[in-house]
Amino acid sequence: MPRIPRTLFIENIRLAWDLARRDLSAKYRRSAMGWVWLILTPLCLLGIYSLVFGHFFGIEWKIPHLGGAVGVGFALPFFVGLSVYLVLSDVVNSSTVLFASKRTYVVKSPFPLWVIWLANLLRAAVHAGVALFLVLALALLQQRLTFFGLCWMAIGLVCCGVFVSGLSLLLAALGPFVGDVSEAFRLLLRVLFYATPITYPMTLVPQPYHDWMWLNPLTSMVELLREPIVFGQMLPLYVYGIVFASSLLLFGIALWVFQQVKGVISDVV
Amino acid sequence: MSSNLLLRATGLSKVYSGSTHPLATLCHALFGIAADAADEYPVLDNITLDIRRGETVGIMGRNGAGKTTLLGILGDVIQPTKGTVERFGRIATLLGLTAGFNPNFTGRENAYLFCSIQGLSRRQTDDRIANIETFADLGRYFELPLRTYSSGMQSRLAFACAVHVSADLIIIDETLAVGDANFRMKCYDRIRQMKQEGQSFLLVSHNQNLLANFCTRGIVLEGGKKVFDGITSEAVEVYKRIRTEAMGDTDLKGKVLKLVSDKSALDHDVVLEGFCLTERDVDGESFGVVQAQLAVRRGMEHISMNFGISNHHGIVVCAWDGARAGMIVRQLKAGDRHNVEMMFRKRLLPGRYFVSCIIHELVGDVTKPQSIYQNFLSFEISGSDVMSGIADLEMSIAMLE
Repeated sequence: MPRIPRTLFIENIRLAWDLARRDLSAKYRRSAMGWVWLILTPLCLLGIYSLVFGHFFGIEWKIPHLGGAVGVGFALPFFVGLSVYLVLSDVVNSSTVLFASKRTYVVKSPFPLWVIWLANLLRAAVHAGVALFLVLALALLQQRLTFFGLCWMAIGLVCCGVFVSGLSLLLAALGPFVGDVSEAFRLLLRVLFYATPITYPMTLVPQPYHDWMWLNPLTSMVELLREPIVFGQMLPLYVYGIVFASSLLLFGIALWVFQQVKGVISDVV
Repeated sequence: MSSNLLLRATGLSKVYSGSTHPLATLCHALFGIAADAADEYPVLDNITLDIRRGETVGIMGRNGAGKTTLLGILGDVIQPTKGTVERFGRIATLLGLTAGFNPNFTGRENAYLFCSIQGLSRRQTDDRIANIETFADLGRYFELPLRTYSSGMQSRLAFACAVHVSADLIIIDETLAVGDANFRMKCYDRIRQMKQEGQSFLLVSHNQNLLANFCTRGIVLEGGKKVFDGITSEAVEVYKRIRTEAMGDTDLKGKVLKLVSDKSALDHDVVLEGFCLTERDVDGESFGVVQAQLAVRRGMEHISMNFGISNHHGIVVCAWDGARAGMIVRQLKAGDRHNVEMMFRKRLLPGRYFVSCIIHELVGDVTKPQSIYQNFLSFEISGSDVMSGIADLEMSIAMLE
C-alpha cells in the first residue's frame, strides 16, 4: 500500500495558505505604501462614485418597509455592491490564467493542482476580508447594522463563497485550454458592472427588465449581501435556496471538469 | 522482495499530439472524444520498470529519447497516457533548476516551499533547514531573493533541498551539470555517501562516466522504448552503440541553406545553378564531393572559383584560393553550362560544417568576383566522440610497458 501520511490533506491546506501568504507579501513587499493600497483603492472608488452618482445624479436607496420615503443615501449600498464586484473580478481575472502564471509549479514539480487553486482563493479571501471589514465599518458608522442583518449576511456570504469557489475552479480548469476565456470574462465583467444594480437601486430599473437583471448571478450576490447589511432584511427564502443550489451545481460541474482535465493541464500550459 | 519495492511502473505510454488545438485536448479529456490521430507522436511506448530500495538507477538515451518525460511521469508531474505508476514511499523530484521555486522568495523561503511540496511538514523542515543552509553554502545569498542567484547557486539550493528531504527515492534530472566543479564534487561525495547508507537514486545524465561510476543499474531509452535494462557497464555500451548507429544514418547529407548570391553590387554574369553533395572513395579514403553547375550569361575569357569549408563557429577549416590556383574554365560563351567538382578529404571531426564559394572572372591579372555564395550548403559529420575539435589527426594514446 502506498504510504500516504494521514496529515497530507492538512499539510496541503497549510501549503496553500503558505503560498497565499507569500503571494500577498511578494505583491506588497515592493510597494512603499504596502497594505495601504488594499484600503485606499476601494475608498477612492467609493469617493468618486459617491460624488458623481450620489451627489451629481442624486441616486439613493430608499428603505423599502417605510414606504420608500426615507433614503439611506448612496455610499453604503453602493459600497456593498462595489466590494462584491471587486472581489469577484479579482478572483475571475486571476483564475483564468492561474496555471499559466504558476507554470514552474505545474510542469516542474509534483504540485497538487488544487493547492494552487486553493492558494489563489485564499489570497482573494484576504482581500475580501479587508473589503468586508470596510463595509461593516461604514455600516456601523451609519448605524445600519443589526444582529438579524449580520446573521443573514453570513448566510449570504456562504452562498457567495460556494459560487465564487466553483466559478474559479471552473475557470482555472478551462483557462489553459481556451485562451478566449480570460478575454471573454474580462469583457463580461465590464458589462456586468453596469448590468448589475451596483451604482443604482433595483427600483430605478423599469419593471420589464427585472427578470433579466435577476438572471445575472452578480445581482443575486449583491442583493444577498446588501439587503441584510443596509436594511437589516432578508430576501425571500426561495432566493437563498436557488442561489445555494445553483452554486452547488456549479461547484459540482467545476469539480468534475477539473478532475477530468487536471492530468493534461501540464501538457498545455 | 516486494517490500523493497519503491516504485513500479507498468506499461507507461505517453502520446503528445503536436498541432492539436488545446480545445481538442480539452474535449478529449472531458468527453473522451479522440482527436485526429494523424499528428500524434508517441514519446514513451510501453515502459515497464521497477526500482527497489538501495538501487541507483541511471537512465541514458539520446536527446528526444523520452528521458525527461519518463522522469516527469515517475515523479508525478506528468500524467501518462496509458499505464500506471505505483509509488511505495516518498519520492523527491528535481526536474530542472527552478523546479517549484519562486524567483521572488529568498533561498530560505524557497527551501521551505520545496520541502512542503515534497510533503514535509513545517516542523520537519525546521529540523532540516540548518543542514540545507550549510550544504548549499550560499552565505548571505540564502536570505536574498532567488532571482539574484546565478544558475550555479540555484542548482546548489535545489540539490541541497533534494538530498535533505529524507525521500526514499531521489529523482535528479541533469541538475548536477550546472554549478562549479567544487560543488559538483561535493554533490558526488554526498550521493556516494547516501548510497552507502542505502539511499536510492534515479539519475539522468548525458555523462556516461558519471552514470558508470554511480549506478548499480542502467536503463537505455531509444525512441521512447526501453531497449536495455541491466548492468551499468553494458548499458553504457548499448547507449554508445545506439548513438553511433544513429549518427551513421545522417552521414554527409548536405542541406541547401540558400543558393542566392549575397552581394547586389556584383554582376552575376556567372552563377551557380544547382549542386549536390556526394561521397566518393579514392584509394580507400573517403572524399566529399560538391558537384555544381555553372550558368554563364556573358562571354568571358576565364573564370576561377574560391571554395571553403568552415565549422559552426565560423572558423575556416580549409579554403581554396581560386585566384592563385588559376583558371578552371576558358573561353566562356553566353548560355554555356559547365559542371564543376569541388572535392575535399573527409578528415573532419563530428560537427556541422558549411560550404561557401565565390566565382571570379579573370581578366589579365585582375580577379573580379561575379557571384558569392556564403554558407550555401551545410553537412553533418558524425562518428566517434573520442576526439573533439575540427581536424581528425588520428590521435591515439597507449600505455608503454
